[in-house]
Amino acid sequence: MNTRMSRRDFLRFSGGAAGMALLAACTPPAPPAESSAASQAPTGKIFEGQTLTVAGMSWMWDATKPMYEEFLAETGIKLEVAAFGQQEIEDKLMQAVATDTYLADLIAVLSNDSADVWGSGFCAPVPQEILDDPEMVWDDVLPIYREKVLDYQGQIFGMPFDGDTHHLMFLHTLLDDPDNQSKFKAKYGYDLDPDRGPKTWVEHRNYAEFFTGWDWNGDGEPDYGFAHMMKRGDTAFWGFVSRSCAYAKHPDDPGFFFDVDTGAPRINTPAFVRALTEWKEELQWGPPGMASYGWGEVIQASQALKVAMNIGWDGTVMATEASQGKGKASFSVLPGSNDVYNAKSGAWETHDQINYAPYLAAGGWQISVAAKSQSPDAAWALSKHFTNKEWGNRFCFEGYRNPIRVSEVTDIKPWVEGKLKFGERSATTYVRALNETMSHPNLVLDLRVPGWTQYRDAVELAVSRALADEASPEQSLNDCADAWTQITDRLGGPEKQMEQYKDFLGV
Amino acid sequence: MARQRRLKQIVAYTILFFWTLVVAIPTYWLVITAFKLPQDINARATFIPWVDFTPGLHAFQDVFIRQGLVNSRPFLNSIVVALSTAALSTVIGGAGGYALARFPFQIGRFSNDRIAFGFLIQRMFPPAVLLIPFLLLYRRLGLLDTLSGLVLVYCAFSIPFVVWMMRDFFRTIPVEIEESALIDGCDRVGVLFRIAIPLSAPGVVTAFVLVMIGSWNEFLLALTFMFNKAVTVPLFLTLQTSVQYGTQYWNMAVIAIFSVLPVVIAGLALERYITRGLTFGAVK
Amino acid sequence: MRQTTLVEARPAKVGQSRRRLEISDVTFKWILLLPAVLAVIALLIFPFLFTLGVSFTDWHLFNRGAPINFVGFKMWASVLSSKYIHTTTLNTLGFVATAVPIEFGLGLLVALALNEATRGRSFFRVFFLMPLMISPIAVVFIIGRLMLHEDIGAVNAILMKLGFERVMWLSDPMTARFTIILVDVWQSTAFMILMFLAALQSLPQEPYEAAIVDGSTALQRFRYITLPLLGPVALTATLIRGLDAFKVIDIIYALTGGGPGQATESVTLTVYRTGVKGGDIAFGSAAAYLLLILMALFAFLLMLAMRRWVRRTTD
Repeated sequence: MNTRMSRRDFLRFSGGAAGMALLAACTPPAPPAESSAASQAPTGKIFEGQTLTVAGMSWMWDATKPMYEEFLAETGIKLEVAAFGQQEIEDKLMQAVATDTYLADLIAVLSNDSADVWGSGFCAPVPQEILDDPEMVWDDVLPIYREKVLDYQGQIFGMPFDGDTHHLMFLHTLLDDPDNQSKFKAKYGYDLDPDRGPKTWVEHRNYAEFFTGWDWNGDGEPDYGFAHMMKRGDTAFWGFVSRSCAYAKHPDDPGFFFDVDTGAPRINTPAFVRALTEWKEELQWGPPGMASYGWGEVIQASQALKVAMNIGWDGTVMATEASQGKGKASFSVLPGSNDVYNAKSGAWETHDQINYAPYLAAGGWQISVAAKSQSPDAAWALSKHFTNKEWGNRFCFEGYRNPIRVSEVTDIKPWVEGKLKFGERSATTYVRALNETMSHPNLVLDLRVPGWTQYRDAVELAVSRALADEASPEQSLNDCADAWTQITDRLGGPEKQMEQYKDFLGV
Repeated sequence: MARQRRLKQIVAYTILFFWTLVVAIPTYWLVITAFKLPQDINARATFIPWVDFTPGLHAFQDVFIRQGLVNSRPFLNSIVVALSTAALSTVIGGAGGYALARFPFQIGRFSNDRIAFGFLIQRMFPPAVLLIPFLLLYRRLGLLDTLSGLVLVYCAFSIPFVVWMMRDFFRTIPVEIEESALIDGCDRVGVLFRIAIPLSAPGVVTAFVLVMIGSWNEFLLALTFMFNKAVTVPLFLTLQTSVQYGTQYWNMAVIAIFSVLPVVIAGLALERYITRGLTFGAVK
Repeated sequence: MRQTTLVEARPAKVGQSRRRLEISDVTFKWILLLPAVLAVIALLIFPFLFTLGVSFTDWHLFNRGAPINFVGFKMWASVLSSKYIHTTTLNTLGFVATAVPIEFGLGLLVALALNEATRGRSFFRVFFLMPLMISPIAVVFIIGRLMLHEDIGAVNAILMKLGFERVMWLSDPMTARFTIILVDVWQSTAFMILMFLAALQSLPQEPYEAAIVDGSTALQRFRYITLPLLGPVALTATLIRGLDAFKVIDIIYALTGGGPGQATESVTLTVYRTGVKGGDIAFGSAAAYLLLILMALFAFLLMLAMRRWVRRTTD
């Protein structure tokens, strides 16, 4: 920011400003960013008078207000929050992208969305000076995010805000109980594992059955085995993929959603059909109405100790004030399976070792700056403040967002002793689960192709139809695969789509 | 005869009280929900204030004080949109209606009745057909997520309705008054402003209020064309359902009350006009 | 130049101004009508034809960089052969065929009762109009989200206290269809009441007086005088309500989002999902036209019925 201005510069500038004023009289008011930056005096409030709009889920901005208020006061940025719900944020973002309309300066982008949002030029790539900024400590960002999620075709677009993986949560207090242990052993012939919980989906079914229908939390009402996200238009896609990946992700085959060579959808392979069939059977071991549970309802049920297990993001929700489960929850990678479907050969295989296929579900909300932002400097400054190492760690350890940095999954001390007061056992298992997930060779990367919302809608429709008994799991997934083929054709054909999919997978 | 009449009265009032209950209970429920504390909603259903729950104002405090400014913008947007749409379409549609009622037209094979019917038939158009062209058009013009864009598309849907309604209305006003004014030396413009509009004030009010209520409550077009800056109240209400983890019913009830209040007050105060406007053409 | 005359004309005497204005009736009438005609052409008819055009292309907003091709009836074929569209079309037809008759029946009943009422009529009339003023989204929130909440809603609480099973208002496919209709009936019956009441109050008195002299019963008078006289209004009301019901989306979007499965998804919601949100505007356009064709068919059949009715009663 050059504040020294020669007389000629000044004249030229005011001439320009007059021209601008004329223009502004004819067009909707749009304060040119350069002029305000150029006319800044070098006081602290370098962005005085600039308003930034941020779009995201309300928890990102509302709950974290104390964490950025000071920064706003210092820089003079005025913040307007456009808070959306889980169902609407993506709708609105996609519409804005499709119509190339300004939505906000800072945008929270899911990994799934990024082929559309970043690939279309809707957002600006991270400028070099921020990539070089020592405050950011990019080396500390977990490689899977730095190299995959934040990157689109060789360019970094996302600022590291939130890491997202799906993992298993279980109440270890229940599994510690000797009475439960002996009863479980008598019934199923093996021991409850208080350290890792159910290791396969078969075990998960046993656990779920065992903890359903009796009052284990002492509130006088019968409780349930587990809760998963199953709601269409909410989070059913990620819930269902988590349930399926141990069957469907073969360790030798890089493709998961598609056959990377032919682009043929795999969503209706016997692996997915089996997962959906079992999921439907398992409804009996969840709370009534679970088929319409989104992630929000899963959290509520888990926090109220109505369910013994869940699959989801963000283990810290079990340690918040609203939760009765503080210090009772442990975490583990997603259950695996000995039966793995090999889509290439078209046959089931039985592996001696459990096949784990953890899932980088949604890949987290990353902060991006809109290309149409009128105040890009302020926008990058704020996004840097949000995601640099110092503040990123604070956000993370206080439970506002999930680990995305190495420093957040190495030491459990800040988790246990920080504001969150995550119990030691919870913290240990949480960090372990995250590390094991993110470094896993058979990790499932989420679907990231242009037009992804249509693929997702088709899956959620199929899941919802099967769970509501409108069609058999096989039928609904076959319909889904047909829909996928059609969507792929409409979006330029399998070759074009697979180029993007393979690029993300790195094959 | 008298017994029969009495029986009829009993049956009639039974039906009326039944329907009163049907209409009243949800209204009652909305109002008490706004005064409930979260635990009185989330834990179990509670029915009567001071009997099974203690009412409080915390939801009002939350909505107006803690989140005040966030909540005010959709309301301002809705007020601006509803009033401008109503004003614009009443003026344009009213003028068209007057023309069709008072002057003979001939466009090709279409004379007045056919033209009026042509307007009426627009009512049939499903908005779904217009979503895509407007989306592309607004993208080009930069009208997405702007209030003027919303007003424009609302006018598109309400002008035909106003033309049709106002034409019927002007036709109920005897043309002789205007004719004698013309003979007295008043010009066309004068007749319109000094005679026709004052005489048709009830019709103008009806059109204005109906269009206003319609655009206050409209959802699909707002959902499609508005993203963030220019959201209106109905859209805001749906966006609220999943904003937090778990719906905050108490806050939504407060917002819903204030979203309903203006139109219900306007509507009930002008009930006579509205009834007349909605049944126009169908019942002579 | 003309404009200055107009301005000067104002202070002049009324008698002279007419000549000075030189605005003939022809010009004047067109000045009045033209804005409305232009608005309709620009904002309705042009977009309407544009959609038709798009439905013959393969335009997709998320297929970036691809040229837009003319593909003839390909999109129409894929709409007509899509199972997804079949289901949503049936859902929409089912909704119209159930909700409108229920509203018709209830509306007629309440209007008849209102017509009989001697006291408090204006109170009831005003009060019954209220649901029509409220936005469907608010209605969904109050009835669907609050009162019919499966877990903590009032209706289930009362039902379970009375010893009934918990009703899955939204997560059972059949029940969810019913719940959507319930919400619509609560709101839109008001319109039917309004129409029927207006019609009842404008019925001629002579036939009744003659019938009473002939010694007819009240039921006979209803069957042979009231009903036939109500015919045209009944058809008009059904036409207006029916066409609105075909367009249904707000209730569904806010209440079930089309679910569970696809049990409650309407065609308009599909158009929004695929065309607006999914960016597949060619498919969305063709689907929107399918809806338009269905509505036109419905209107045509009703108008035919109306014409026949009028002919029969005037013969």
